[in-house]
Amino acid sequence: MACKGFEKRLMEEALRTTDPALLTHLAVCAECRAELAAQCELQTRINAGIEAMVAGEPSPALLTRVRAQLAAQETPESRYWMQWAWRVAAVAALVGLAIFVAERPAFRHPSTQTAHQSAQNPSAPPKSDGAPTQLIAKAATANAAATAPVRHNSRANQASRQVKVEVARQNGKAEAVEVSVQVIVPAGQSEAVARLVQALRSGRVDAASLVTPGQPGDLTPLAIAPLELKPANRADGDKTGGSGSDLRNEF
Amino acid sequence: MEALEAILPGRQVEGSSGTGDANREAVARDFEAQLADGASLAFRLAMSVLRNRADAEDVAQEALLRAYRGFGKLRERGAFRGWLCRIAWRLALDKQRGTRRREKRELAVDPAPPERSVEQVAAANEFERRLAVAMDELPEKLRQALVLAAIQGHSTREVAEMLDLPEGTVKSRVHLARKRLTEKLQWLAKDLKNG
Repeated sequence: MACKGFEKRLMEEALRTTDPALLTHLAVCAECRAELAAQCELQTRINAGIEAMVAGEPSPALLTRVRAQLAAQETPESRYWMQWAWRVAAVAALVGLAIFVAERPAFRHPSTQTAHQSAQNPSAPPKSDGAPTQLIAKAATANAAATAPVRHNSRANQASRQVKVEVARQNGKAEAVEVSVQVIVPAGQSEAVARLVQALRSGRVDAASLVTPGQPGDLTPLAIAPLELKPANRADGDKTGGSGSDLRNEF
Repeated sequence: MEALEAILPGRQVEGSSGTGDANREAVARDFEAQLADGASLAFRLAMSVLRNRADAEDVAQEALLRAYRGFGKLRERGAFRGWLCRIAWRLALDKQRGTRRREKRELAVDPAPPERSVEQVAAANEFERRLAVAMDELPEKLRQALVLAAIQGHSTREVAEMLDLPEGTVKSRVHLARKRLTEKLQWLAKDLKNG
């Protein structure tokens, strides 16, 4: 055991601190010399341990790998400009995509599209004729008569807004005629009708395949046999004893 | 210069030696000149933290690649070593944390490892293990200064330049780190004294 008062200073001496008083004491104290020797040995081992920890060289393959990856990369300066180039290219691509989408036929207004087609080929019959739309309007009107009051919300308005169509006259000449069709939508079906109108506008759905044309005389009113209601003859009932079976026979 | 050509494949096109190309070549040349020394420094730093050769090489590689990406913006080429040192140190610590998390997960799934025999413990070199634990327990600032001072016999001034600190601060940190290590490893001094 080291002498009291010198123990800490021995450790510090081992850490290369110089202390004249300690050196004087060491000259006369074997115990402290042994302690100092142990502390110095400890320091030596610590230093060796740390050096061993950070010793060693990387394998040559490390430099090869790094050089290969650097070769695959851009140089630092070009990388900065490449970032901007990528951004500009991305914006240009987005603008191009937006223009392409806007120019697609499905996104054009139906009247514009059909007018454009008619101008290009006046002799060709238009894709849609007015009959199906009129039939839809007729059917919708018939349904609306038997159902609840029509909702006047925005969807219903959208569904019942005037649809401009081009119809061909029966003589075969392609002539643009605007027909205003008022669609009355039953309650709860406005969204479905709006989708149907949108599909008809875009030409994705052929209206004729959905609706079978009918003649005006096809709709026959529902025949209900009239009922004859007679007041119960209470005097007769009293005569017969007022039995329930008689009442049932009356009706 | 083969290494330079490896970094700039196809760059040396005839008639295209403009100012930009010249700058790029200069940057690549400067980096190549520092590459071997930087790889060694980054590897040793990573080894001091991770104590695993494969992991340390991975960290050194990543540190060098990151350093190269920003090398063109580095105004003072002399600051490269310190800069690389900070990158490698940070990456090594991140990897160490990831490894510890993974080990913790694996230990949670796996039951405790079997008890090691006395011979196995002796074979594992107890002192080195305890030294590593003591190093890990040091505050980061102290550990970094101590490791850098140990690598390649860096002087206090060199470490101070690398860490961008006053020399006195570095000296104090290294001393404090050694003192703490010594305190934690006093059991060995007692063993040595008792024979």
